[in-house]
Amino acid sequence: MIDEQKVIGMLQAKALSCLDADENKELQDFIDEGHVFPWDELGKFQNVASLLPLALQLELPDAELKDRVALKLIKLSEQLRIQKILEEDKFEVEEEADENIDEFTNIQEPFVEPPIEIENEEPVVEDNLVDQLNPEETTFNLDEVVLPGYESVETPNTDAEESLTIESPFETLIDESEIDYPQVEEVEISEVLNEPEIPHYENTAQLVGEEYSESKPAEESEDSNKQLDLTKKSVAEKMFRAIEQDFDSLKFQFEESERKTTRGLLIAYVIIAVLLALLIFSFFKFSSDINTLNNEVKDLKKKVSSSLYDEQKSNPDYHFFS
Amino acid sequence: MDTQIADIELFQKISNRDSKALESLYDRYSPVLYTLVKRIVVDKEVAEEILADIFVIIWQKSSMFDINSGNLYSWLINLSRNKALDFIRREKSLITDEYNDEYENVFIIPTISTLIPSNDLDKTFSNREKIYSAVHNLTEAQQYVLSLAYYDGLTESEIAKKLNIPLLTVKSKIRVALNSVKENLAKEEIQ
Repeated sequence: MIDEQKVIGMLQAKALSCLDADENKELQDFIDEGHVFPWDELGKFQNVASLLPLALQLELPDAELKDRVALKLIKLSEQLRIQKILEEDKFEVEEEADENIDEFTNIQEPFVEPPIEIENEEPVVEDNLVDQLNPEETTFNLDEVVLPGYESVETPNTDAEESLTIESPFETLIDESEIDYPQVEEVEISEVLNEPEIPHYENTAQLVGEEYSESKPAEESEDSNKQLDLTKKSVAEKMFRAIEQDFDSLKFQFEESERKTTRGLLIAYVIIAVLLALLIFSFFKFSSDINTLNNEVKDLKKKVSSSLYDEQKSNPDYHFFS
Repeated sequence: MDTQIADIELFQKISNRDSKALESLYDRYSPVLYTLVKRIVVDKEVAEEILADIFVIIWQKSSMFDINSGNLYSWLINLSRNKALDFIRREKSLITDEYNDEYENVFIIPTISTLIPSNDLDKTFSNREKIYSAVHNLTEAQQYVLSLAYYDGLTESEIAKKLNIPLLTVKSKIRVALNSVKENLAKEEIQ
């Protein structure tokens, strides 16, 4: 058991995270036992410790590092997207299987209880269905879209995971440099929303928004025009994001299958070449062996017949088969 | 103070998956975080790789930062230090635990008390010279012990063993060193 004085003496080391394991445990026990702990004092020391790097000569990372960070995040998003696609596929298969099992259990209802596993899976299916019904993901219908500026400012970003799978980090910078769009539109949106996040999606929304604006009635008030613009942009965003997502997944699947086919063909070529070489080698080997054996047989025949003949000559009593 | 508010706003946007906000945070914090990481791992390329990992963690685990604490500066510094020291310890095979999500949440992501007064990046940057003199006013021995503890991640016993001095001396030097820096900063009204 440590006393308060000792605890105060350990704060500096604790702030620097250099306490030995046993002392750290002692301190943790002291905290867990509910004794009064000088959190504010520890906090001050932690703040002092966090200022220490500023005493170093500042160095700048390579300018390309920012791109590498972006690339890492893009890869991560891709992985999440693939994972999501796989999960969705799995969900569809499970759903089909559940339907089949349900049909079966309906027939057998008076005799057989439904399996426990299926009961456990039901809430998961419902959750997934709820996710699927999320307008962010599924709807392109104008009537079903919630206006971000009026219903909730956070609407475009409600599903963090969804955003992760769609956005490419830092991509807005690239898009903005590539696409010119009228300034007037931007001013209108920022006025309506009073929020700087909206331009993040403007570049794609702008393109589609122009198409919709042709059918806009001239009599509408300025506010309703803004609302309509915003709705169209929101829909356009969703359409583009969905299309982008589909396109990316298709592209990935195509590339993956192409890679697999190429790899398979290469392996097949290698195996065929090896087999062919073996065949040629064994052909020559066997034919040379056969020739050698033939020669040996001939030699033996010659030797045998000549030696017997000689024997008979030297010994008149010698008989070939005696 | 304005910058700190902006930092928090930036972080809220990062939590809402605003990649532009992450880019702004990178522009703002990468020099100091890179300097710290490079001081710990020494190798330039490794430091850059770790810094990239840190920003991936920030992107993925932004929800683990308690916005109420408001002390983004300390959170980022501690996160970077933990990540860099973890790399060093793994290189020396001092850590054999698998690096996974759970490990990262427990050992890499720092927990900052809401009682800690928040640091302001702009203010701390403007006080860099004062912080520099507060640290460099310590004796060489104190600076060295502080450096072994903070940048090399050694425990008090390891420092005592490395320097071949009694453990009590190390404890005393660390205590006095950090107290002195704190007092010097307080005199300059930085803390």
